[in-house]
Amino acid sequence: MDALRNLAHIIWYFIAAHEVLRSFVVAVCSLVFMLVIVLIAIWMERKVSADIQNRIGPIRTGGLLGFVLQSMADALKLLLKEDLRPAGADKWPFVVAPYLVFVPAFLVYLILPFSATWVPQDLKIGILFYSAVSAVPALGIAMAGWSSNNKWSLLGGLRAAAQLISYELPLGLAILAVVLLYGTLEMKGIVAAQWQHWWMDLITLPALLIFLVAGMAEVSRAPFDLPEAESELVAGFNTEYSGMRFATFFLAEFSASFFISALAVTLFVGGWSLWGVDIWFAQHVLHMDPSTWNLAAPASIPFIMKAFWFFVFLAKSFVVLWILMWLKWTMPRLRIDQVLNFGWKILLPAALLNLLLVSGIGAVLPRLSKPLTATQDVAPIHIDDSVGLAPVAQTPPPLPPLRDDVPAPGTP
Amino acid sequence: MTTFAQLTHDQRAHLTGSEEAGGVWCLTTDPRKVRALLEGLRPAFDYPEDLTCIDTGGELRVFCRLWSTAQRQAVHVSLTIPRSRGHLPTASDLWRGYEWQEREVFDLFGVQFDGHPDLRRILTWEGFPGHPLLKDFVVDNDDSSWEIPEQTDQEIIDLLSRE
Amino acid sequence: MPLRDFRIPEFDAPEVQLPTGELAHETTIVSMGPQHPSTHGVLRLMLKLDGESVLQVVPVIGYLHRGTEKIAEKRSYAMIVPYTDRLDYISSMYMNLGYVRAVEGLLGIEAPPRARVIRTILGELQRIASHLVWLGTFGLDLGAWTAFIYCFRERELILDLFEQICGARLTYNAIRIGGIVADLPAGWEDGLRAYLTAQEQGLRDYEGLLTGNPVFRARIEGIGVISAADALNWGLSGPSLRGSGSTFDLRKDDPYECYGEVDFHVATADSGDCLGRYEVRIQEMHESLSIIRQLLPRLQEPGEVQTKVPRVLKPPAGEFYAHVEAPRGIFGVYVVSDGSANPVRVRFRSPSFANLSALNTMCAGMKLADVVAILGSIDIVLGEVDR
Repeated sequence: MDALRNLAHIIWYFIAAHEVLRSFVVAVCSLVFMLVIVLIAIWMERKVSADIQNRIGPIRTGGLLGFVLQSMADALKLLLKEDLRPAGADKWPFVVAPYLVFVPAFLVYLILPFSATWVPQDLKIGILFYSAVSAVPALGIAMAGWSSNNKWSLLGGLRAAAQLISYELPLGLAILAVVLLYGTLEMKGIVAAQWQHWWMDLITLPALLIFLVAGMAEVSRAPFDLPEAESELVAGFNTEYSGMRFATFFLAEFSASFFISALAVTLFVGGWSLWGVDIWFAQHVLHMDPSTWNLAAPASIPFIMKAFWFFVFLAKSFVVLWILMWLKWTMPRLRIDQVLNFGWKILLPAALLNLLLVSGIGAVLPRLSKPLTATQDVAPIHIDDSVGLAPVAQTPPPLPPLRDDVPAPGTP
Repeated sequence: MTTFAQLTHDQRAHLTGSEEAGGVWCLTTDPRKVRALLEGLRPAFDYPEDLTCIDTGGELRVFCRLWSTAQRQAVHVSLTIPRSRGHLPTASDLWRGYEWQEREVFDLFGVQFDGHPDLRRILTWEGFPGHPLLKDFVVDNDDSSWEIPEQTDQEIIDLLSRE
Repeated sequence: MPLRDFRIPEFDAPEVQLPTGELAHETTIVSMGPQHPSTHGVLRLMLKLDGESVLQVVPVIGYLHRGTEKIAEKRSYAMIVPYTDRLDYISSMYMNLGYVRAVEGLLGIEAPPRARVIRTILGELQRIASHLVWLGTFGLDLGAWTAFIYCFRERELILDLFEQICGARLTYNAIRIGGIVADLPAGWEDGLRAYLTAQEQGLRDYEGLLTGNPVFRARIEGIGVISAADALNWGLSGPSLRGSGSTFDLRKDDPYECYGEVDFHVATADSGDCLGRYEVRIQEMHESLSIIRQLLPRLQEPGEVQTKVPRVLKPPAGEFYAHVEAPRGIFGVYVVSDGSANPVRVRFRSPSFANLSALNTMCAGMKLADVVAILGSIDIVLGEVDR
């Protein structure tokens, strides 16, 4: 066993030493994670819709393991179906379009902070990366609609282009409010700030609502599912797609839905943190000493806490996903002009107003926003005596590095 | 409030016969007078309930039923036309509801309605042989010549291309 | 500013037709159907679109034309009843009723009082069942999936009641010439009472899901407006007409069966849009429940449910026109007899056929998604459009 462990260590160090290999491993892990999440999300959608609609949902496959086997069966069915390409279709755009939608949907998972130090690819400009990458699926959908040589697909593609571009703005502005408040583009830093000041989430509550609405439109979920509006456009942009290509669209849609929920959690609902309860729990139940934890030094935080945070993050994300599903199964679909009017005339001004509000608050509370950009001068975990909790941190744990010029301890 | 007596008196020039049967006023007329009769009926009878045709074997009887929502009264207007190449003035400009009913009578019986805005087949397809509700239309299930010609939709596209 | 002002003088390209006006338009002709999720069967709509705006709609029908009227000329009077089931298969009971009333009129007979009460109750149950299918599918047309299942939950109870009477759940053949197929089975009334209670809760459920939903209202308010005068002129009937403010309802205006003896209110709405038609149907379901409740005590009176009718019907030469207020509007049946065992002509005047003919008028200037909403709101069944 020792030899085996040593071998594993050697392999790991070898991989860690080679950035390319490491990236490859991270990408594969993210992809697998995304696929598993999608399997669960599809099963969840079926069960949630069934629950809302007075039904039972799928019960034949897998029993309690239904969430794996049922979705696997669905995927297998799609895999085995004939892959048709209409004779009149524009070949290359038609073939490439599903991947243009799918790849960004999986790429954005790289920046998600799953737990305190678990970030697949910790980019300094994480949220900007998301904004850039999330614009690509609109192109893919428009391409799919155009190249299918079908009028319904074309209408769906045009709808998607109009809708996705319209809602990119309020989405970006809602994110901008968060960036402004926390003073960082790094996903890890945004969550760390919320971990330390959980009440900041209350300030970003309006931004959360704007983000969720715009996010639903971005991933074309009902009541914004106009690009594929089944009762109007047959299946919209993916009318002519079948088999695996259709599955790719399907996968991307569910992946994006989960990602929007996860991103909402990360930016507005404290990410992996549990609003101070996690610290209390670690201190009083697990008898740990949070004062020694350092986000910049992964080794200083016990694995059990990281795993706990990971599950907190997943649980929060699935709760938000459940809310999206709830909305989907109780709301009729909007009309295209209503969607665009709402986007431009209500959501965009609201997002701008919110930005103004948040920047005002940021100016009023300079003491709070400043420490987050500095490194190590303020106690980040603030637990008040009045709520019955003992003061935790006499010596505060150091903050994550938020400036490029301050090298984090422990980074290679 | 129109009464049967008053109606038959007012419209007597356009009628060839009239009777009141079971609360329904049944008027008969002929193809030359029908248009004037219907124009006279239009103000009182605002609802175009039905328009159809009966192949009695010898000739075609075109039948229309109107309803007055104010008086809760029905009136039947019927007239006979020759079996082939029957022509009638349209009533679809008086009651728009007769537009499709006339198309149906044209489709199934071959009655031509002059002045109809869009007299196309409605239940059968473009190029259907004959008019199926005529008594001499033979239904033969084993007839292999029953092939539906390729539909070009040209009639509809032409219609839609019109400004 | 017209675009042609931007033409570069040196560059002359006469074959290029520069667009005039504010914006250049190119219209598309799209064939919606006959296989489309929301055309409620095999209806085909040829749409002339300018982007998403609808310029013209030409319905193409006949894909479900089975020649029922031609078949009827070769069948005896009693044999035609099952064919009428297949006209409006969502409300077969009413199709039976319309045809049977025409033959009864031709024969000069009338169903016994108990049969008339049962017919009225069955008719109103059928109306609710039909409106429930409509409500569910209307929700589907607008993208609201959930109401559908709730509507079918209560419709199932109605179908169970029908099944107890005639053994069928869709095409009943239950109303026969001179009466109905059989007397009510034991315990049927208890089932009916249980259903009435469930339905009232059900109606609250649907309304909770749809009526107050802002997205739902935004989708149907002011869509597909038609005035009462236009609606009458186009021959619209049923809820599609009453949604425009007309009170034309044959149950009041030309009462048949027991409708003259019960107290009910003709549901109308003034707006003439999809919301008006929606409200009328919801109110009608409440009214139907009230009619059934009023008739319940009369089910206690025993009596015959079938008059004596000869085995081979040979009505005297003549004609009879019967019309009933089916769930979708006026269902008229015109029967012409020459004294033989088969009718000379049976004509079915179907409400959906007339309602559909006004589609183009209602859709003018609407968006593509509205066509689906309007089509859903006039509630067509292709079985009776095409016959």
